[in-house]
Amino acid sequence: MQWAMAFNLSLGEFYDCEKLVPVASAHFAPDLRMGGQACMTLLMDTVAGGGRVRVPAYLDPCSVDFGRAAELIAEYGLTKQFVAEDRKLQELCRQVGFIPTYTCIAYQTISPPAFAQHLAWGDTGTAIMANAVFGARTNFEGGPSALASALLGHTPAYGMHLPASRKGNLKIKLDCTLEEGADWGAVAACAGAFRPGYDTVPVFYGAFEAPDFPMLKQLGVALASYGGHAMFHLVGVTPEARTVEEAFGTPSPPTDDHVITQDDLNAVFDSDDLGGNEVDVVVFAAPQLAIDEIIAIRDKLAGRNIHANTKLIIALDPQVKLQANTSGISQEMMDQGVEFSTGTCFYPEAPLMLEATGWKTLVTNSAKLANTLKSSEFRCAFRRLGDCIEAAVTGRLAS
Amino acid sequence: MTQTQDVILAGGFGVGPEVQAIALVSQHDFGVRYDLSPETGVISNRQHDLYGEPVRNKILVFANPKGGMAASWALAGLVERGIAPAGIIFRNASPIFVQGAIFAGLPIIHRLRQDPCAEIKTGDLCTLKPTSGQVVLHRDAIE
Repeated sequence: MQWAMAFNLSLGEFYDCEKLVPVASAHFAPDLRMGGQACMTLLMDTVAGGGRVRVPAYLDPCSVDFGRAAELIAEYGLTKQFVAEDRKLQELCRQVGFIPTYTCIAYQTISPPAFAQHLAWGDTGTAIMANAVFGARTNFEGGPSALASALLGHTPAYGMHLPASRKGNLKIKLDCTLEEGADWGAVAACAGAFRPGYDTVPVFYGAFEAPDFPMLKQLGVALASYGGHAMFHLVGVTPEARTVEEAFGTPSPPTDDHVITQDDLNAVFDSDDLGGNEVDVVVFAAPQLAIDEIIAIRDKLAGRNIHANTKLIIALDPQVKLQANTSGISQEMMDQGVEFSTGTCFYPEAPLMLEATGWKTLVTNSAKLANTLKSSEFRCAFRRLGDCIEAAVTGRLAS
Repeated sequence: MTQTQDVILAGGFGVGPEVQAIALVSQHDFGVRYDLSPETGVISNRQHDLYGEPVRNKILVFANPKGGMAASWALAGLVERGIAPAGIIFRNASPIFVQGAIFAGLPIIHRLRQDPCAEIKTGDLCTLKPTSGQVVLHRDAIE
């Protein structure tokens, strides 16, 4: 507890905070690959000190689908040591009181936040959705920060907890056709380049049709990924942006616009670095999929099998996997060759699988996933859902 | 005869211990999972302007942070592996990097009055003074 208070006070001092605010819940992302023993040691010390979470506290996806651990070791190159350490890490989290939700879409499958509720949510894609779509208030709480806030039940009141920080400051007109999640991910890939930064709050407006929830997910996670943004407004859609004026918090919003056109959008899809057209793996992840999105993939597959030289992997949380199992959808899709990765989000552990699998080329409809894997040896193409499905079925990228 | 001539960049906000090291300056944004191999501490994104550069013992200077959670753990992981930078300067940091620097015990500074990506050059010997929000560049002055 002393560590948690000292950590939050240092953070509060950096941001010149006036107070801590109570949080309704916390969302924690431990990470062995990035944090090494520092992550493990912090949790062991917390357990040894009798630390317990004071609020409902959820876990982000882990790096191992433990139901397939033997297969991941034998065929995908994860080491026994890595799997054992991740298992130990998850057990430590459980002892501190975290619920093993293994989800980056807690707002969809666990507990949607209420408007104006303060949270301590990690996972940037989760946090931006809580802020922008639900009107809740959270900063990006990295691993140590979310743990400290969960243990204290409070977090420093800076950034997105303050109403002034949430107002729009970048005006973007959407002059393009937006028909599916990948289109909104492409919007974010364009918008994130205009003025990257945590303090940038883009306001989108235009004559678009109101997006459905999967589209909002792709916009949110990709804005966090490409722009580092924690908040956005979609005029006429998100709750703090009934009008452009409300989004900016002024009767005189800026008149100068950035515009995203159809050509801009198409350019995002036209670029890739596959180095050929053979596709090793098609991935639907980042964020994890809800049952509606899995049904959409099943329908696009239309009974066809996955190509013998290609994998199709879907990342989902245990809550959605249960829905897919009980409805019979998961068995139906596995019979066609689809693989489900439960409780993971693919990209954290993906670089560890390259050598054993021989994977080189990857196709996805997640703009975030394509962006995230740039530091790995994967060669990625970002495409719309239909193109991804055709790549999985034929083993080749058509264009 | 060569003497040093200090250039002071001020007005920033920082946290962590004072350090002195050589600067490695980028004009690009930086995210740990996006741009760095945590196993080697080398910039591994082929599209990054520091591609192939090791970050060990350097004061890293970037435009903006990008990406997500990884930095909150990764800086401590780099310290544990002995391949960590000496400190980090951003034009404007994100909470994730600030949290990660606090956890790792590394100094971080942002929001200097001057643009660090323009004023600091790769190879400059720098002193980071987080509590006073300053970066001192120790440059050779030829007489």
